[in-house]
Amino acid sequence: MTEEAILAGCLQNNAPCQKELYNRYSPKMMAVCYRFGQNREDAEDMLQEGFIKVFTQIHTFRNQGALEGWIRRIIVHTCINHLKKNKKFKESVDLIHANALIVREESVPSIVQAKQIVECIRMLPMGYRTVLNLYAVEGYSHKEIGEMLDIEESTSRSQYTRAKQMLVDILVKKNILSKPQLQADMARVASGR
Amino acid sequence: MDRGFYNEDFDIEELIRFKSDQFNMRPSENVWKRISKKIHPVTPYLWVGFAVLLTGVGYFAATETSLLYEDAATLSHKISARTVVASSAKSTLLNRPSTTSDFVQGKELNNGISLTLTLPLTNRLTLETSSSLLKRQEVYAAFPVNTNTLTEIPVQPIQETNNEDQTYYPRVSVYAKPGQSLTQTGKIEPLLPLSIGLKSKEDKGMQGHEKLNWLQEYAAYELSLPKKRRVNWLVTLSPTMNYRRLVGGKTTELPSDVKNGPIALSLKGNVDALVNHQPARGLEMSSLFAYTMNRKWTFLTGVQFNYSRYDIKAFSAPANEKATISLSRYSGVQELTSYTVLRNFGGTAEKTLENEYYQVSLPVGMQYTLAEAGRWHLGLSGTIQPTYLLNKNNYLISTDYKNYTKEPTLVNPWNINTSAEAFIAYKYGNTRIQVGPQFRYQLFSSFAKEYPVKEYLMQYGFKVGISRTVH
Repeated sequence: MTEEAILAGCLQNNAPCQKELYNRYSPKMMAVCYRFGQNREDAEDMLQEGFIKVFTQIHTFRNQGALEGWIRRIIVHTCINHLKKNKKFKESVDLIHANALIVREESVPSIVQAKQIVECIRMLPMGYRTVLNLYAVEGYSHKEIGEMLDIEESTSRSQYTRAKQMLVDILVKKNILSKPQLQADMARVASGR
Repeated sequence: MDRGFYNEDFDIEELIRFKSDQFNMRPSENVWKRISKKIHPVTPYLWVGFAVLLTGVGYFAATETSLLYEDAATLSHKISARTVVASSAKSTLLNRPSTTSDFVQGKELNNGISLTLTLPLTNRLTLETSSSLLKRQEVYAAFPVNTNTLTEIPVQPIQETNNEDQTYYPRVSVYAKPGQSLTQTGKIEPLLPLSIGLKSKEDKGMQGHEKLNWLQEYAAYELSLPKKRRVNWLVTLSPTMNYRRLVGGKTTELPSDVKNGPIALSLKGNVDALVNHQPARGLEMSSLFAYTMNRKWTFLTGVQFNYSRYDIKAFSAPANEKATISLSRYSGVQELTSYTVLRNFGGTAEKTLENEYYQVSLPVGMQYTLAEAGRWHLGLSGTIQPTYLLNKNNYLISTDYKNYTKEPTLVNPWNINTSAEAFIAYKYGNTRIQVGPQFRYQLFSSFAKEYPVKEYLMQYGFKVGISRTVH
């Protein structure tokens, strides 16, 4: 089924088309929610809420840009609103002294390196993690992050710097940065610039 | 610290982005089931509501239709709860089955019922009935033995009393003339009916033998009815007109930076004046049980289904715009942001938004009979209805009144409604039809208390109901 057909079906509130849209984009969006959430259950709640908004607001999609990008933006906003409502975020943004982070051996799975990176990101305090996800992964500017999280732009910049440093420390401690495949990836990314 | 290949030339951000995009994760199956239930919530409940209504209508239609075709014996028994009676008579000597000439006929008078029971005149008779309330008894024909004479006893109507608590026992008495031969002597030629009148109400305390004595051995048996049945099943249907009242926000003028398009509005005032909403039609169905406490008061409870709707005039924006909802919480003000192409003031084109509410309620209340005139009743009714909202996909206005968006988490699933109605009812037998206007109002806001704009739904309609005594 083409994306146009799926979109047309979803506009008609057609259940099979909605399920097809969900099946296509839910794995990637679940990964987005997993990076923001405390645990898998939290991530599934955010995913559910986000897709309900997608289906109820599908008529506002203006074909300006990819459908995936539009869905992703809704999911990210849903994640942020979910964190704000559950008051999980506010405490974490205020946490500026997170030096005593302990990395346990078993807390980072050694299966797939992408998952390893994601799990290391999830080990960060909630505030650091959110700013890192929004800036480095989702591509929002610090100004936009400040508006979304009700913080100053300068706070967003400083939080991001600390988050990045902490993540590097975790990756180094876990020897993830020294793994051969990751080294190859890093070289490929560097050569692509 | 071993940083491996990490150095200042390497951009960790690109690595994070690259690896994060590689990572996918399958959610559990339950997530889709929950999503599907939310976006397709109503159909089963709507069909359940229709099924309840059709079942009730079908039940009433079936029972009323069957009355036309049952034999007179059963027909008379069912005419009224107060009616006794012997359904047919036959000769035990001949084992003759009931014929159409053996019939019981009843009619309602102004203040009660008259009943005429006709029996073959000259035979030794057995009164039989299809009702389990009556016993088979032998009775004797009374009055003229001339088979060609039709004798009819004037019937006294059963009188209603003003004491609604008194139990009511109408009776049928069949009595014989002393000395009359009751043995069949020959062939039964055409049997002429003997009419037996239904006696008026008597003291319920009298025993059977006393009544026999009273008639000086004329009375053979007196039959009594059970107590008045108090439980009724009421099914109602009401087309409604629905609206809402908005409260909240301060008196404010049109925001200065609002974007005006080809179609624009200029409004001043509170939030109710800043939005353009219109009533729309809805529907209410209910299945209730009514317990008659006394002649004036009836207790009501049951299940009710409401479909309510109102329309909002909005405008399309040329591109997605940020809609902000500011929530007042104890910890301070929090903002929820989303993107929308719906504006409240001005835009490229007009757009009508429909806010629909599917509700299930458990009404509890009372009905009061204001006046009675024969079969006609005039009454009032009021109920309190704990209500559950089945859907949450309604449009909310942003707290700067510029845009419309959806935020299901701010919609309250539980609420309480109140209703008041007046009605005129017509009763025949066990069935009553009532019609009249009704008004329903929601006591608490549709939205969470953190959301500064409060919405109270209201509706008025014309209700039609059918009730039937069931116990």
